[in-house]
Amino acid sequence: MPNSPSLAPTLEVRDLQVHYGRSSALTNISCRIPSRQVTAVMGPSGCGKSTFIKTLNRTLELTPRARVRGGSVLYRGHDIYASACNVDDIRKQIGIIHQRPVSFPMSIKENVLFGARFHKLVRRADETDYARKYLERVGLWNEVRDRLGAHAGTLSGGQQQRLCLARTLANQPTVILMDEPCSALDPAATRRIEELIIELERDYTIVIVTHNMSQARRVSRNALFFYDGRLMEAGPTQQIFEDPRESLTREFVTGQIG
Amino acid sequence: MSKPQSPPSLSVAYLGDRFATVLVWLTGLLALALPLAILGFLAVRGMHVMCWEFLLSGPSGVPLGSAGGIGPAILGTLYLVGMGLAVALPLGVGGGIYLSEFAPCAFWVRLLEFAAECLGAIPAVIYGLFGYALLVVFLAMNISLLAGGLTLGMMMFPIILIGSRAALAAVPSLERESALALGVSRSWVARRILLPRAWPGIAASAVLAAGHAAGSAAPVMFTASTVFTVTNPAMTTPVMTLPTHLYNLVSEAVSFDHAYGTALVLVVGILLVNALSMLLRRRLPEHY
Repeated sequence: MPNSPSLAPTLEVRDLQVHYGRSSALTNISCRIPSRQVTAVMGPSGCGKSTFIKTLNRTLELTPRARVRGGSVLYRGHDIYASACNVDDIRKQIGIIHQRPVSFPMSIKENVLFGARFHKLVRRADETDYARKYLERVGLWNEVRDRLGAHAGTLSGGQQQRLCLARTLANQPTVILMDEPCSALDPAATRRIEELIIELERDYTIVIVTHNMSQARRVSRNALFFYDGRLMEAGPTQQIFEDPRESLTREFVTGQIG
Repeated sequence: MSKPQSPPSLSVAYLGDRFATVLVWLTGLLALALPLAILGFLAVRGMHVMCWEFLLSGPSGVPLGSAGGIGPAILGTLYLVGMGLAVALPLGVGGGIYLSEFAPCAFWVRLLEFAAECLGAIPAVIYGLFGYALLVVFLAMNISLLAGGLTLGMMMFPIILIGSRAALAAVPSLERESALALGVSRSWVARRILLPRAWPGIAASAVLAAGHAAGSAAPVMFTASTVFTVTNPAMTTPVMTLPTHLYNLVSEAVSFDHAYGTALVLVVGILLVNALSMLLRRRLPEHY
């Protein structure tokens, strides 16, 4: 069973099996996601990377015909697929950022407060300060401080992605999942997001799906390599890139497959 | 040496293609010409009675309706449609939200959509009979604005439900998914994201339903309408309506000039309502 090093895991996946309809998407996935570190999920297109991270906060259930058919995902030792587990609590604790930034049809400030208001994390009188705190955290405050009431759709792609991150952070999660968060961004916006990921590592457990091997090397300490719905190798990012155990991993990191 | 082929301009395939092109152009033009012809015909026959007095005053003369105007009928129609909307809009939107966001499985959605489509296909006169039996007789509402408004509400309900469901389904699924991924409830997402996104489509379906109801005589004939009123519409009293007034003018041969004038007001009103519906639809997300 491929596993990351024996650091205290925030998430632990055991024998996970996922199907889309009758076809298998993930087979017998087992791994540990260490606390307060960045873990990169790599692999060629269609290998199950996005499916995998969506299983970590039960957002896979929002995809029609997708089903977890076996195994478990433990968050702080508790199975998030247990019937007693509250799915809304799990999604609050384990946030996700999508490939394409999705701003909601409301103001910048309302976007930041969208989940926090529902979870009653902020009093009405403190809303502006609360929004400011998370906009500052993602480095967006100085760019939007004079137009908090403006429609979020007026922001650039990179700004919208940081807004999505602020919205997720405002939910006070402990884990942040990122599904190719830079794939729709220009190089400058990508660099800004990568800097943020490294900053956030101090306080959050981060799992990032990326196609970009250079990015995986820059931002992550651990890496998981998926191929054809299977986890082929897991370990420290440096070891995965410099001394992979599996030949498929070697072929992927050297660009022979992808 | 092979036999020389006929030039393209004379080939059967070319002639068939030209014939088909002309045919579809003609049928397309017919779709435009028919409503224009009806509108033009009504304008020619009914325009000369059009004046503020015709639009605002009540019917008069002997027989009743041969002089005066259609003011109470316009007012009665607006009250009836407004009341029908007040009932059908919340129910239809609620049903649309249920089908789009809360229905447990695709089979259940298809079943309810099928039921709503069947409801929408029921002839208007059946709604009239049902409203008469249930509201006027069984619930003793008598022939009144209340009974007619509720009957029109029943008729509008499936149109608004199906339109709302389609407008909500047109909101990009990624927005829904991104919102639910924050651990918020489906009703929170529906209220804060889906309804603001889908409102042009919902409003368009409501306007379309209102236009359909405003032009229907059968549902209000047994439940709400009367030949003549002098008072303002009230919940418990019958009202005049445009379609039933038109029916009376023609069936009793009271005044064909006034009948054409009434029909012109009704058709122009419905055209304006449909134009408003189209304008609202254009505000929907691109892939709607």
